[in-house]
Amino acid sequence: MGLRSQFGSLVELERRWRGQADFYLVYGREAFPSESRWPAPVPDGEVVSAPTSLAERSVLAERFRAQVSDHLPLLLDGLDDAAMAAYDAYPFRVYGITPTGRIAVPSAKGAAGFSATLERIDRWLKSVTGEAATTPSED
Amino acid sequence: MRSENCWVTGSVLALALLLGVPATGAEDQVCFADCSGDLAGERDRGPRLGSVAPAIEVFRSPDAGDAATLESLLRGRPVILAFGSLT
Repeated sequence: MGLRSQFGSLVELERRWRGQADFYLVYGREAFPSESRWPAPVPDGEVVSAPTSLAERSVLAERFRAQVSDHLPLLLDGLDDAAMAAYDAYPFRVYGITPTGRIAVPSAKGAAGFSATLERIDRWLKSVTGEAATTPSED
Repeated sequence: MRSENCWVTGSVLALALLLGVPATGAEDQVCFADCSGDLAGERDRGPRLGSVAPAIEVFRSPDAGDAATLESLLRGRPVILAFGSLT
């Protein structure tokens, strides 16, 4: 199962809990740009360069969102990658945070961990809202 | 990252590990190598359950000049932060 599938599950989860929780995509350091030891192509086959400005990062971030969902709000980490560092979120992670700003669901690592974390977030949201998720529907 | 990237990268890194080549880069990057994240020692040092969520200052795309903090994202509801990149 690839990351596209993982983020597909995220999009489904967001649909289920829309209106009861706020989901954000955070785009940070590109995992495998052309400058890395193991460059990897993006889904359209291009190998991208690491952004050197926030504007360049924004362009790649929008492409990332287009791959995931145009619906989800997109946040950009600064060029210092401070947010990714604070959450040890390289190359990808997902966290559930309470309305008071505490970690309710920490992220597990790896693609399998990402998927398992989404399941834990679903259970957590059920427990804190006391409600069933809404039936997913198309945007 | 596409699944084929996952497996190709994982295979390359597995071979590198067998040959004794360090799997991490000079700048302490940790590569996504396999679906468990274990093969190349993907780190697991993020914030723990119940801890205060680390403060962040990020920018709302596409208007990169519009900063946002975690506090500004918390609006009385749970928040889900999903970090990722194209590759």
